[in-house]
Amino acid sequence: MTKATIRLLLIVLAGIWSITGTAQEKKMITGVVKDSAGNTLPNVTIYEKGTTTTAVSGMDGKFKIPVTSPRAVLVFSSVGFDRKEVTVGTQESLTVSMTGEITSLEGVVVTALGIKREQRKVGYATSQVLAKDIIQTSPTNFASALYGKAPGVAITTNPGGATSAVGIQIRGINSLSYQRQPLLVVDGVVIRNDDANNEGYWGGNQRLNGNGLLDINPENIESINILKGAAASALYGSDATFGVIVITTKNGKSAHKGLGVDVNLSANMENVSITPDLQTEYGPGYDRATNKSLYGADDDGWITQTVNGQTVYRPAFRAYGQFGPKVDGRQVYWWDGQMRPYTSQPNNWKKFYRQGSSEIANIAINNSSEKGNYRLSFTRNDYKGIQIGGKQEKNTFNFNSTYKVNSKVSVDLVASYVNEKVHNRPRQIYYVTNNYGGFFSPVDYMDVYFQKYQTSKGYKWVDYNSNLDVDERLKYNIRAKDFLDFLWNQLANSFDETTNRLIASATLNYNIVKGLNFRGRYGTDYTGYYAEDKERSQQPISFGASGVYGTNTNRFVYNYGDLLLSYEHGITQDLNFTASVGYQARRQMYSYNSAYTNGGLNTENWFSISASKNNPTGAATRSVLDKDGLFGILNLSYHDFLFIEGTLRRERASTLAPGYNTFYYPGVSGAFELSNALQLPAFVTYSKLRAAYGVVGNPPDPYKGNVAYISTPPGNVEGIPILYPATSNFGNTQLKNEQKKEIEFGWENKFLKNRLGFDITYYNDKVVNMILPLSTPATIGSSSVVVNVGDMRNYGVELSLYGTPVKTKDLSWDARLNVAFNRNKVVALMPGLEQLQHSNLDNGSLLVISQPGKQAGDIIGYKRRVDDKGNYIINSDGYYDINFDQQSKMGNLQAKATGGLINTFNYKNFSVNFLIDFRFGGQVISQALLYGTGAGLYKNSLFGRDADHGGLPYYTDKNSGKNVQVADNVGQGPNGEKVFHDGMVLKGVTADGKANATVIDAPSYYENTFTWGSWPGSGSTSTYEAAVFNNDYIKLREVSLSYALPRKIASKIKAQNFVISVYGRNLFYLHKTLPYLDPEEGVGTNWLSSGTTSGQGNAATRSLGGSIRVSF
Amino acid sequence: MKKLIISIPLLIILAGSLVTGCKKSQIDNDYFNPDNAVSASVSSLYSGLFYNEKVMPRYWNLYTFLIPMMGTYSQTAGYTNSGKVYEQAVNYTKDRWDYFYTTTIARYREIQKYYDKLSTDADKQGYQIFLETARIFVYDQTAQMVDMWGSIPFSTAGQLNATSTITPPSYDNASDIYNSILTDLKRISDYLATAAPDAFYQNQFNAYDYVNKGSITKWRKYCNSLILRLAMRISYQNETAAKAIIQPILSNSTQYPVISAVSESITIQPSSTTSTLTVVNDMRSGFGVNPFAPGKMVDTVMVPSLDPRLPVYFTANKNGQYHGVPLTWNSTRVSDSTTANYFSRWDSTTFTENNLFPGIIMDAAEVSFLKAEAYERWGGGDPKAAYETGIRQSIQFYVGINNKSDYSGAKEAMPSDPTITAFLANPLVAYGTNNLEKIATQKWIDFNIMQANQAWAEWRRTKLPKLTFPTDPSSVLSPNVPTRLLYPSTESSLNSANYAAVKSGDNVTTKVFWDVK
Repeated sequence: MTKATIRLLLIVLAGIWSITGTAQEKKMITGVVKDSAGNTLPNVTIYEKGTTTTAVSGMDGKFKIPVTSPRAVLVFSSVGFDRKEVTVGTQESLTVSMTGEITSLEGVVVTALGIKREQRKVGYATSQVLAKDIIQTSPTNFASALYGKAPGVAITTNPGGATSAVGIQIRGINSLSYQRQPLLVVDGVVIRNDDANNEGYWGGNQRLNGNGLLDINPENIESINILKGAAASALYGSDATFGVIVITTKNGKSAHKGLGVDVNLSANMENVSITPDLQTEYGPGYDRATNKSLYGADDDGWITQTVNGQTVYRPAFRAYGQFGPKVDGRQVYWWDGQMRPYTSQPNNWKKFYRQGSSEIANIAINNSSEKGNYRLSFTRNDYKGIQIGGKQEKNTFNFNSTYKVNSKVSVDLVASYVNEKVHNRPRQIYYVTNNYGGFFSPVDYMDVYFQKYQTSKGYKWVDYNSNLDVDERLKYNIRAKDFLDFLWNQLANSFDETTNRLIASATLNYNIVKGLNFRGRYGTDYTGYYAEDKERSQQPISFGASGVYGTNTNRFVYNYGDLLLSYEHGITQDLNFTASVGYQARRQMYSYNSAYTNGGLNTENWFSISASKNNPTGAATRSVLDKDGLFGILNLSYHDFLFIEGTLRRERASTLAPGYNTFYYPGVSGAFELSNALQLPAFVTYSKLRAAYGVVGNPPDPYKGNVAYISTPPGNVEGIPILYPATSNFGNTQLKNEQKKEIEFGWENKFLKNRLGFDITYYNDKVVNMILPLSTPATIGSSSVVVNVGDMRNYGVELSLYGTPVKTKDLSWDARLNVAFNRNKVVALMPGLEQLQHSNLDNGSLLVISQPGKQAGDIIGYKRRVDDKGNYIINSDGYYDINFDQQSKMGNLQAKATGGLINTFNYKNFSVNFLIDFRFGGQVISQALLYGTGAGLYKNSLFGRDADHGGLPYYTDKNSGKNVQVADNVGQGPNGEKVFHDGMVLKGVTADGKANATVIDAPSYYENTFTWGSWPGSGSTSTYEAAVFNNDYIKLREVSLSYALPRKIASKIKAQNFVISVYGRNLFYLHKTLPYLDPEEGVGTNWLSSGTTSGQGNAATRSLGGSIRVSF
Repeated sequence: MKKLIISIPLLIILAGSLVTGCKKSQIDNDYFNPDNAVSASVSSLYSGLFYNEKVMPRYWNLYTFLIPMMGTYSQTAGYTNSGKVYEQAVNYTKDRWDYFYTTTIARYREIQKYYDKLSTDADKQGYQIFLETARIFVYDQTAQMVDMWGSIPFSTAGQLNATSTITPPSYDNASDIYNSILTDLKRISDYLATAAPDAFYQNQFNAYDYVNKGSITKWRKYCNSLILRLAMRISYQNETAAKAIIQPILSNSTQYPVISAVSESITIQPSSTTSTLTVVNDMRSGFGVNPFAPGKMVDTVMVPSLDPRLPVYFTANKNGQYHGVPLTWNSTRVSDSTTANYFSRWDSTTFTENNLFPGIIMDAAEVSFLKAEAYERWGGGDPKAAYETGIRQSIQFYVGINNKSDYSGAKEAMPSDPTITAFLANPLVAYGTNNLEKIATQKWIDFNIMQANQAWAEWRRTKLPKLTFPTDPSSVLSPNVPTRLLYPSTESSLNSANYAAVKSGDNVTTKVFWDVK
């Protein structure tokens, strides 16, 4: 804790003493508190408004409180109920009924370890999102519904629809290398959630994976509380560096008494949101010289060929460039042997994607009685994403119950079972957009690809130079063969995944004696995953066995338990304390088994391990992680306006070496409710100051620190044992834990009876001993070594501004603006280390790095050389000269501001809701756009190609070989040279300072200026600055219109509630700076991966749909 | 207060029971990955050293490195002369570089470390055979790296494994590396000549040495033959030194035996297709990048000379002819001719479908050609005999590989003596004129695509056979065939202080020190 904090606390304390009023004449009021059903309510806090007098109702609901004011107002509050104010008047005995068991949730937050606390008593920032805000547009997972709803919480969606992971990042980057997802706690139990696809295309699964949070059914969620800072989550210790998402599911109590049934049906269409603007005027081919020398083409790019005695034309379909013949509609000898008109197909990408759909049906039964309550629900999801070939089916059963054994003991049982089948999960389209081998031409017919990826006999497409099937092979060499492979993989082969997941927990609450409570909890999260891989035989068996059959089985088991003993006691009338001690332990186990055929299938398309031509291969890996923590909590409340909480956790984690694996995590926070302590102006309804400090940690993944010897593959050599050291990620026995220390201050205010309010938080954290697999020169023996590498700081401001500008009987308008600003700085790196390299694209053409004193995630590369006046230097060939002497900053991956604007309008039975979310600052890297521009795929490469697009006339001098610019009306050069109209002169100066006048042809300009590879020694004239784009956007994320049937009509079908909605999600961008792509097309769930892969995942999705919700 | 009195002991009891909840030993035990070994031994690391995926015919090396780059630079692959054909795929050259350091060097340093840790003299003496034979292989691989890159980190490389420190190594001068290797190989050769480990160690050596099956004699032959190869490589740069190294070896076959029969070729031979040394279909996938025959080799040498290796190396086209890809044709013409099945491909039985193709470390033919060159240039033996032996050994070696293939296709019979004699008499082959060129040409054919890196080195050393590489106007970086590979970017960015010493020579036109012709 800093000195400043201590000083602040002292001032606050001094203030409190001075406030405590002088003694006045007192009148004793007695009474009883009951809930809406008439049961007595213990533990209700009662205080006299404007004083410091407080009391608590007993086990029988009875209370006693002295009041001073003649017109005393008593305030009743209890967890889970609406606050209630009662004017005492002349009464001496009161019976108070508390209501709002459902709606009052806003006053209560579930904090660390499932401890419920009144929001007003909490000394750190939390963000709460309720059920109604989550299901408005029927998302398939809760995280997609969090866009813009909680300040400081940024959402990243892995593109691919409902089967793809959603990442959550709270308060910026908190680990340079082991950034993880926030801890996910459902009904008090830590469950599995993880990242997906952050390893890049080659490093891991080429399909767009999901993550654990997708299995938490939004229909079952009652509330989500997001614990952002270290103090809030310190009780979770080393799981909590990235924040904690605490989810409470719906139980039977949350409805009216007796039996109730809820039925919800929703369906929507999904369509591709944004596809690139393809140029529609030119077909395949390179610059003129290359077309001629490489393909023997003519000046326009046409290749002449004789087929069956006839002269036919074709462009160079082998070229990835699109600088070939102009589209003229002539008949062309296509690569499949047909004659087809040479026209442009601007909707190729739209035809590549399909219309998807999502259907969700949910039914829930709930019941509650004196002895307890339960809720049972079933949800069915049927989903088809926009990428061809895949589908998902999902069944979720949920059971949630509370049973009161007696007045002192109650048991909660919660179980959720998820059964999911996914067929051909979407693949990353890296091979089609980031790889010249997959580029199809804007003149290509999409349906030809869809026909030709397999032969008419059902084998894989046959290359032009193969003899497998001479009739059906490609008629000549083409470019987009990797695209054919993509189609074969996604359409002919099948990859079926079945997941069964059970999340179950039992909680025992035991009120031992008054004030002394025990809670014990045990939970498990078990996932069994089974995948079957069937890759069809690619060729007839007589040419050699091909095809693959394989299965793999994964098992994830989380076992979780905690014990909590708490004692609550009033030391004096004004000072209360609650002390708790507890223990928490978790064991996380993962195992993987696989079996694959080897050398092909010995009978075509016989999908069985028995069909393996050679001995099948198998693999088995596993990992175990143990963590446990012993903790204590001390809560102090002084009167009803000062609340202080201190926590301490001692933790052990198995992922660090013995001797380095025990840590202490302290946390302290205070809330000071000004509106209770002071007499504030009448328009201030509520005002609270917060201050908090805490420490959390982040140890490495299991086994990362191990220095050990590897045996597989191959395990042995013909029976001889072999061992070898790691070739990358070399271990480190002295690895220490990453720790985050964070301080935060907040001020929350509500004015004019809650018509207006704001909540502002400032936080400042320091992450020390960050762990990183440090890239090392391979010449030391390993290409990376795991080390503690340095410290980093984040600080920022989170602001929520909310209000109800309009509120009449029929019409109301609620609005909320959330904004978060985060700043980040690398404080120090280990001695001798000047920078960290997170990403190296194309042999150092572009790096993502972090340097001390600067924001993490700087993008650096080589820019065009400029003179001292800022003019580009043009080389003697007429191209930009790239300055390979130094790497320059081109941007940074981190956003500066994120947030959302939520508006809800209610008019009679109609409700309209719309959510806009935004991101400002920071850049994104898209190699796909760089390569695509250089290949002439998009409209941005039209300039200069012909006279209509600003191309200059010139001829190539026969003798010197140099281009000479001529006037528009000149027909030919002095020696009869042909005049072309695709000349360009780049603006800039030559090395000797003169204005550049060298004429180059437009195709060569694009090919050489926007191409792969730009590093010292490459001789390239391309800069990767053209792959870096600003990434600001404002998106209309959600719109919903709902109509609630009037009660009268609804009751005719015995319904208590009947709501019909239409909605749209991810509708469109009001503003975006990234051209041709949706800003959400990056792959992966973390900042580094999603920021460097734009355009290689899959296009993003736009959804439109409707839903019906009925309660009986 | 009474309740407080009850509850405090309760709290203590509970707390006490909690502390013991999770045993410390369990948390400590789960630190290590149960699937990895906490410690190693000289012998198991030794067998790990030879598991080398650049020696064995692996898909990745063939597809990304050997065929597209080495095959092009040495014209042992039938590549199409399209744009930027000489430019290096830097990601893949980096991969080759990294493999050497993180595999060969790292494993060697671990062997050294475990050897140094041995506590008894008996162990030190007994395991020395492991250490010294490992060195021969490491030196062989190191020299190959020098041949491709020039100066490289060597003496101080692999410090992470040696000393557990992150110490970026300095660059050793290429010719110093060659000299130190040659000196040490001589020492090892002399050691092996008298080495006789106790049965305890010899038996282990027999078990773990899956290259030479524990035969010290074969290791001696490998060692001395390697000296021949490396000394011959510096023979134009420093003829005196080369001669001084080579002549004692060739004149004393008792002390310095060399590989002299096909059966003595140093290879890593998988015993069956189920062997862990085999990766089924790897050759097929590897040759997928470019299965075609090289134009010059086939059309101007092997076909006109009626080379009996033609049917062993290549498949005939549909007309029964052998044709490689000429470098003077544009890609449309090549593509059209490919469609018309004009070109030959690497033979499926010998190469592309052969799952039992050995990892070739050094074959007998190469040694015979080295002898022939030495005798031709410096006397001391019969160059013609050595040359003809080399050709016979080459034929026999590849027919042997063909016959051992697991592929169901027809096997080639060993050519009859008259056929071979006629071949040796063909003017393109017959010894007598242009002898050095003929030796180089036959060695080039013997290396073929599978040892394309050696073919490239020998061509750069001798400029023989006379290969023409058309200039590529579309490339700024590499309009002509490179003379070395570029260092990977990780060296300039992560080992910048040491890289500075070699930076000025880091381009595609710097010549490796022995490249003086």
